[in-house]
Amino acid sequence: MTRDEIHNKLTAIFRDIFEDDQLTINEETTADDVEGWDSLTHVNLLVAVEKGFGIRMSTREVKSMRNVGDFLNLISQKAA
Amino acid sequence: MNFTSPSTLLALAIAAMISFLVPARWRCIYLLALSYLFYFTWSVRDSLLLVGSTIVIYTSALIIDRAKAELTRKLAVALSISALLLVLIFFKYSIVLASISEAVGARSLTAIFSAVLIPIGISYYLFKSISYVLDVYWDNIKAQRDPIALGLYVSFFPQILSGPIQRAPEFFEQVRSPDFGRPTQATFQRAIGTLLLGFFEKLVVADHIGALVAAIDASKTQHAGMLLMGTYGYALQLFADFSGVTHIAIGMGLLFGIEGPPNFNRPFRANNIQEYWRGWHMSLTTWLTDYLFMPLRMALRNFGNAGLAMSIMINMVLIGVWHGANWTFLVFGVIHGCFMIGSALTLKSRNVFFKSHPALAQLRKVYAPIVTFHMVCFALVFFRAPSVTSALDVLRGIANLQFAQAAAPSIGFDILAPALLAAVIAFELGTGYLRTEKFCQKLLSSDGASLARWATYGVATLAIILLATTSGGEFIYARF
Repeated sequence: MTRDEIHNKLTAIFRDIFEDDQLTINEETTADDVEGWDSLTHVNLLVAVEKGFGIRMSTREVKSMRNVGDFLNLISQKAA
Repeated sequence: MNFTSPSTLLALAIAAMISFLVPARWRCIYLLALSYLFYFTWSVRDSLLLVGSTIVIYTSALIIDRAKAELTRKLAVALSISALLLVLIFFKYSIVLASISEAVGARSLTAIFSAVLIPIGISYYLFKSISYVLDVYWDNIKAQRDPIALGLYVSFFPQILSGPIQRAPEFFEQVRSPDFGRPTQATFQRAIGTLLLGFFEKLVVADHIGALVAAIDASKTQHAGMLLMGTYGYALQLFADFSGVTHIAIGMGLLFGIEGPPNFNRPFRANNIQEYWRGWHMSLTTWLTDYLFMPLRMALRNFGNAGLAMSIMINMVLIGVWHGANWTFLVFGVIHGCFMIGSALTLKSRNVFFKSHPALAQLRKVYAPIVTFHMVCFALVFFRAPSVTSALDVLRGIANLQFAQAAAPSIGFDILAPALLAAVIAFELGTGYLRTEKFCQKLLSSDGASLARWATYGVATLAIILLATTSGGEFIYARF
């Protein structure tokens, strides 16, 4: 998968989880930028990403993510 | 040593002035010496534990940082965290351990556990220590090579008695800044403003409400109105007391160029219980979210709502029993666990419902904070009571609605009037509807002529001294 493909698929998952069809994300997006992205929805998001990409993430990997860019890196590394 | 005693304040002023004269490279050592001195005056024996746990986390973080093999890292993190947790459990729950060993007939162990005294601030500095090790393990920061800086992080005296629980990355960032140990004028002004606000909250607001609450408690009344007043009063007193000590701690830290994290963000205007916990004892709740709730939630993530409910319940129960080994705190945690689970599972559908009923949504804006506040007060009845039975007595007394039948205690106007006024102020500080806190902070840290500013400090200090109660209690949260 190319980074663009991952980005598009991730955007679709974000829109689904946060129920916002207009939501856009970029490398610098953080939880503060997305309404409703708190500790509860965060895990729903992770579960959806794991299912969507067929990957498994560890707590440590999740905890070291700072923004959507880190998220994309982790997915592309795992889904490769 | 009491934060509000004149001798402490004099010592603090002298320490802050000396800090200005200390060369930059000695400031860390100077502040560590001050912090250790502060702690050593409490107890030399407990200080050994403080220094010991610092050595443990210093070493294990370096091992985690340098180890190539994942197994070594995992082992270092598991061993050090287990050691810190065992120490915490041993000291905080010795009463429970004593009764368990008594039940199984281990007499010698019972004697050991019964004699244990909780070291001051142990939950605060051990929580800081645990988060430091996990932050290194999770690659949030590099292991601290300077033992002095790490020792200061763990023992920093303004934060050791009642928090706030500061995270290692933001602490070390401030230690590296040029402001460290020598605040700029703006920081100094904020320090004074925050300190004065803290003293006002504690000595004037919390202690006046506390006098009324204590008088109601002492009367053992079953008068529903009085019991309600005591319940509301305690919620406001607890907030003002704890917010006060947090502001004092943050203000003291600022005098040395270290800003601690906030603990409160207008908790009494929360629209639901989740919002409430995002604004109440924030340095503890965010700590638990990051280091307990999230790992737990991750582990249980494939169990759907059951996993969510279990993670929330464990988290809230631990918040409860963190306050001590008493059934009342367990019940407090379970109540909040149920509230949180109910809220988390229904919030989405409630929002959808109110979106399609705009008129009801307007009404919700009014009643939601009132309902939330009452949920908080209900749980606090257990938090405050010496036993679950006496908490139930209070609730029964309120539910019986005995007004005329039960004798109301006669509480003097000298207690009642200042307490009611203080309660209004506490409510405003806890909701921020009128933005008084922001206004006062601005006033106390304005850029005006320095003479005018010092005059403001003088007037504020005088007002606090004149309005303070003569019988100030200790800080409620110093116990935990």
